[in-house]
Amino acid sequence: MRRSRVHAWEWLVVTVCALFFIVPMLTMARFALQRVPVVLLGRDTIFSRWTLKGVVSTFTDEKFRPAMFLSVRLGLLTVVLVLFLMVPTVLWVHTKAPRWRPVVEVMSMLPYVVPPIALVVGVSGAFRDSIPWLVASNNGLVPLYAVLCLPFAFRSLDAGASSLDLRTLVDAGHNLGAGTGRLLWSVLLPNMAVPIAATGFLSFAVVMGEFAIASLLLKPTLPAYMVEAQGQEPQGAMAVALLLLVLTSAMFVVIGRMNRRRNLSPTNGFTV
Amino acid sequence: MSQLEFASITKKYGDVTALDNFTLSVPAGKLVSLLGPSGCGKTTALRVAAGFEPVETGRLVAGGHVISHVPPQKRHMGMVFQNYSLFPHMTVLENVMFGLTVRRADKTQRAAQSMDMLDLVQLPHMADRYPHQLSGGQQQRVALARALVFQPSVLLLDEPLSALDAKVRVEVRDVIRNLQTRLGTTTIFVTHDQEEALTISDVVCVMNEGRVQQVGMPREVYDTPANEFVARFVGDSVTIPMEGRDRLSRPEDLSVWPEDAAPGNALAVLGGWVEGIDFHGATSDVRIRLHGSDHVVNVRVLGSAPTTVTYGKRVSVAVHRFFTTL
Repeated sequence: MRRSRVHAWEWLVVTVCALFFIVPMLTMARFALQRVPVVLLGRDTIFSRWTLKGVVSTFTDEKFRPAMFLSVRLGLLTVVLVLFLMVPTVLWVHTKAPRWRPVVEVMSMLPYVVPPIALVVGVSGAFRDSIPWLVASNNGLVPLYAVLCLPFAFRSLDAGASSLDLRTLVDAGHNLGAGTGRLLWSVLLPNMAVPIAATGFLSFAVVMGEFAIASLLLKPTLPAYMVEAQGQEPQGAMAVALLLLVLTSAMFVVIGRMNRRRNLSPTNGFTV
Repeated sequence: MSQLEFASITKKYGDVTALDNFTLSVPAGKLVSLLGPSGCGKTTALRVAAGFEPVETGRLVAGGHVISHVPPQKRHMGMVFQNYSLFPHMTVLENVMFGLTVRRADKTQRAAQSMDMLDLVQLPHMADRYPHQLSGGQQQRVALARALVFQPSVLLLDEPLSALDAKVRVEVRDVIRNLQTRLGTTTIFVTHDQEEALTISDVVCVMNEGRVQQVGMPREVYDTPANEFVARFVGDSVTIPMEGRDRLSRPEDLSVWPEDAAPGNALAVLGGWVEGIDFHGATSDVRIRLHGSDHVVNVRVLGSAPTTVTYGKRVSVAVHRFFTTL
């Protein structure tokens, strides 16, 4: 009896959460794909005038593709930079310098407290004279995006590393005769594959949705394009936003599945 | 001949001295236990031997060569850790083969050797499983096979049984001892469990506060402890107030008698009353509060206490042996 009540509560919470997540997506879908005035979007019009016209016109817009490709390129470069910076850092903190962990954690939180405008003004001001080509280039966003991704990257890699007892694995590997390179390649990276993939997905998702910095630096990324396109073709912009949301959600489903498979082993505990 | 020698090694962590002029000779082919309470430096000594902790003062000598500055991956020592250290992404066989793979052994040979080793730890049927599919005891047996497969010069065991439950602990302990005897591998076994150390070792090294307290065969350490710390830490001890000073004995070296019937050949006879009886199955401890003092002594008897020994009863305690070295 008590158990079934608990079960019912669980289902209620899951349903409410699912509605919280799905209803805005459905609303976006109706706005983007129905040629019906917003004031008439009600129950009566639920099946009326569905069309891909707005979406097609946005997707065929000459500015859309460059913006899309730029965001994807920036996303991939940011993922590479974040992993290049954070994977060795987290491994180092967990195996050699655990007392530095709180310091690295606090530093990784900085993007939460430093507003984008301060980041943009500070960074572009500091580097305009020394490396003007980077500040002027679209790729100049990559370091800024990498900073934005630090909180997610650190937490996801740190949780993965904490669940593994890396120090013992490193000691065991060295004891069995493996040098640092061998240890990294054969032991550490395979065991960190899930957190590394999750960090990559999260960083990519952050870049695909970042507007403030791109707008301040006048870079034509996808989110900047979407805001611009909203005035001309709001349905198309909404369709792109919906697409991004679906893609990001799909990434989280993939992370969740990888996580579940990993949770079958005793070295679980990884969270995003 | 000594296979591994710690020569006057001192190791400090800030103000804390983990090893204080630590000197120990580990004979070839023998199993030496480092026994002591938490924080006594036994694990530090093992980590120094493995190369995970640098030696600041003193020397570490293996097979006649100073290896103090040799990195861990070149020391050719096998180690089993306290917490299961198998690589989670590898199967049991891949784990066992790892040391041979790193050493670029012939592919067919490394598989065959690893399977032989799994045979020795009685787990050949688990070769394709992953570590998370094994019990704690099985994981430690695989870790043992992994540490031994490349025929290390020294096997280091860092409290490998402490995470296991009592029954499995005995099983794995027997596997370790059998394998060590069979292969003749020089072994250092770290433990805080004195029963484990006495059972498994050829030589026991008792440590406290980073210093060696006594080195000897298990019987020797138990029967003739070098100092009060060893007497109290190894086995159970009983403090007996005699002629103004405390003397130490073992509960099994005492016997309990009716008040006026103590044997004449006892070294000492003390009067007291029974404060309690603790039944342990094979033995019982009779707690006796001595007359005119706050001392309570434990007298160990086989099986249950005699029916004449009951709570509150006035009795005599006969002492048959004191530690002569103290």
